[in-house]
Amino acid sequence: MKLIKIVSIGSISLLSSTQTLAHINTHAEVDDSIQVRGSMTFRTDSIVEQNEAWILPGFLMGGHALPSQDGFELDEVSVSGAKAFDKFRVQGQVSRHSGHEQIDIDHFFITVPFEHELQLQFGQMPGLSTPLMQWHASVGAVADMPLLTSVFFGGHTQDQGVRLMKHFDSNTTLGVEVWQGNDWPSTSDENPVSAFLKQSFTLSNISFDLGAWYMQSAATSRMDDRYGDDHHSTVTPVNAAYMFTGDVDTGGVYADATTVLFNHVLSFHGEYIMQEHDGVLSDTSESSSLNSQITGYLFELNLNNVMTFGYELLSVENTFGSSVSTTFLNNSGLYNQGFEPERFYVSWQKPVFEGLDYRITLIQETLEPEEDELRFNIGATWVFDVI
Amino acid sequence: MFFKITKCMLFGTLLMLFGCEKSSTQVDVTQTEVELRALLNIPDHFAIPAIPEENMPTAAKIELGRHLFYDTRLSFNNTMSCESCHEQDKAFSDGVARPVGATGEQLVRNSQGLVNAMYHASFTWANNGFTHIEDQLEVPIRADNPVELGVTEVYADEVLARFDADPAYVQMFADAFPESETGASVNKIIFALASFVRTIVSGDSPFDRFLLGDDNALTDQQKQGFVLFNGEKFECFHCHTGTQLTTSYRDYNTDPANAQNQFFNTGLYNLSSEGDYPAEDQGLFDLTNNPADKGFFRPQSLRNVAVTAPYMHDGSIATLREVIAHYARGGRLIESGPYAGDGRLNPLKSDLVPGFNATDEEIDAVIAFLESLTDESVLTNPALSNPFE
Ligand code: HEC
Ligand code: HEC
Repeated sequence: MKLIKIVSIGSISLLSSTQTLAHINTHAEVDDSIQVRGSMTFRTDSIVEQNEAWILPGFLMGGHALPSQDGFELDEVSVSGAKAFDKFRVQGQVSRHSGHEQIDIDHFFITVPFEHELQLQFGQMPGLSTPLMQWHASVGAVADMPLLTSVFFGGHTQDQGVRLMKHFDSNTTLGVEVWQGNDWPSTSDENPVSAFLKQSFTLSNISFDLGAWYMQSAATSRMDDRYGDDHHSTVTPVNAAYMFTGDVDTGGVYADATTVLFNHVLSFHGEYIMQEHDGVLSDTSESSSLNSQITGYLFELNLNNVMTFGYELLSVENTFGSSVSTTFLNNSGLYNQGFEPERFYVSWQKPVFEGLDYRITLIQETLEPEEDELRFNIGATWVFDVI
Repeated sequence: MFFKITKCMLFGTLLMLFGCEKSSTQVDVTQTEVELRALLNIPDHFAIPAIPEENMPTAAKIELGRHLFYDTRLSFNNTMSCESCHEQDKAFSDGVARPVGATGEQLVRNSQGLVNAMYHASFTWANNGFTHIEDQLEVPIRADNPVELGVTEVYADEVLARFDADPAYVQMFADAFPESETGASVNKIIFALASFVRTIVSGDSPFDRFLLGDDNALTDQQKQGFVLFNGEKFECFHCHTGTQLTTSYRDYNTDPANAQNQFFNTGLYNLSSEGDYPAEDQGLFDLTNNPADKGFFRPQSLRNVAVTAPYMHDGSIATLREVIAHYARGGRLIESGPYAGDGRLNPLKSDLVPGFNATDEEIDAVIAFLESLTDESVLTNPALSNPFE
């Protein structure tokens, strides 16, 4: 009994299973359960043409940040489960995502509770610093990966690591994590370290969740291998041979607020992330010092768990060292003067029957200077409890 | 860093309400960079070359270097200058397979073109110890086996006295090395020549204009050649990459520890089961004595390559078409004579020269691309020409 209580403190299930980012929680919450989730979408347009690499001018990109394609796509199918034992608990999830041929083990980790509300987790785990680290098409308000998730985390943060969490009371959680470093923006064996603090409270009839976090990582000869051997190998980005070596520090804050107003449930999620790359960028011949500071904002407003308005904005400040050639600079894909990628969306999601929702989204975005794109998604998401 | 991000996070929360700062890309251009670009005529699409701290260029050093480069008084017997083997209209090569020095002795190697030479990671055809032009220049001036200019120990004083006796040179040496009052010295000559060689910059070929965004600068055939050159069939780009078309590349930003000191055996010869090249020149092996270095030479920058024939370290290939035929075969076959052997089977040959089947049309395209690397302006630039004419 005690075990279950501890484990579910981290989760934020306020009023119901709303679909805003505030309430993403992709790992099974309930003991001895198996859940199947999925998302399938028809999109009117692709972010880039089939044979083009997706580069947001100015931004270092990589990991698994692949753009969505037009037509029908099975965005995600995943199976997650949890089992409680006497002294510990096991959680796991496998999934298949569009763009990946194989089935991935998203997580498989063990939770061991200790006295004084301390909890140790280890294994292949999702990062808990921000909900954006655990985004999945089946649980977000939109089937498209948020720009912030793409740029800052290369699609997600799930890596081998150890996490120690302390729940001070049912409202405050402090966590410290040490990772292997397999996930963007780190490279293997760099052992990124992260820490987060979460606080929930209620003020008059508004419930708040606030979070602040910081992650220190590093990369050695990191390349953008999104278009490597296993996927999309016909695509060769102009900056395919560029490598980054240096420190990558990321930090962010977010705030959720939920309230009931005239019988309507209104919830808000706001997020700010800043990431700094500081090191050396090189290609097969040239190199330069590089400092890249990326800033991102995301806001979502959800009404009655049905309608979501969202907005994302990114900006970057890149500084190259003296003596660099314009050839090197231009081919790096990092030249950006005044351009800020942004995305605005309105999404409508309602159950067809218990477990199956339809979802319609209108997206207006600017992912290249002076190119406004209006596109439209229609699709379905499902969640079924097998046991 | 932590505090910086924390500060920005606090600000960020406020900024959420007011919108945020604009994206930007900037280069921290130093005053030194601005001066060097102007002095050496380095275009913005090239990096600044690596220059040793102790020989930063000045206009006076360059002027002195240019005079010395074209002056036959710099050879022991007043017969040759640097220009004898490095002619401007041939991109500072000389058009012969192997030149003869001031005593009439033939050298074993082909005279290298000097255009953009300063971007190489090492100097001469195969020497991992020459990392600056200054290191290399001892050779043409002082070497006695074989002799180039022949200013050996015996003749050094005599040659220096020629410059000390010429008031114009006395003035130029004084201007170039104002902190020294001792007149000409071999070291000063080397520093001045190196400064001049660093001004032999070519950045205005059709290929450069293409790099700068002019899509019409290359013909369709040349563009096809560029694609083939960078493709996995021809594989040229593995060794001839970047703005200078060589992996032997170094600039001001290159970490000397990572300077790509690259040398390859391309299968030009195969005289024994150990992969020997002709005994008079086995490349890097002659310096290191490591049998694995036999036939290892530096990939040349291919800038202006169309005017630097004949090709390779010994000038043994006459035309670009034959160079490509050598790569296409995956090594050269010499059927008879003292150098008979099948280079394709050389055990030390690089894996990047496996051979390929190319149509005549494809070979024409690659040649056309190589021709787009010719920059007419450097071949005629008056600032690089003979000041005595
Ligand atoms: C007799 C002909 C001859 C003369 C005279 C001569 N050179 Fe050379 N130069 C060569 C040859 C041959 C090489 C290649 C040497 C090697 O690989 O060992 C070369 C190489 C060079 C290089 C190296 C280029 C590179 O890309 O690594 C420089 C620089 C150079 N010469 C400058 C000069 C200067 C300056 C002078 C006058 C002081 C001079 N040379 C005189 C024949 C000559
Ligand atoms: C394995 C690395 C490598 C590859 C691949 C390669 N090169 Fe070279 N290249 C060299 C080296 C090393 C030399 C000098 C070899 C020597 O002199 O023995 C050279 C010399 C040359 C020269 C003569 C330059 C001069 O000034 O004499 C030309 C032209 C050339 N390469 C063109 C090409 C082309 C075209 C391709 C593709 C078909 C190619 N190379 C592929 C390494 C390479």
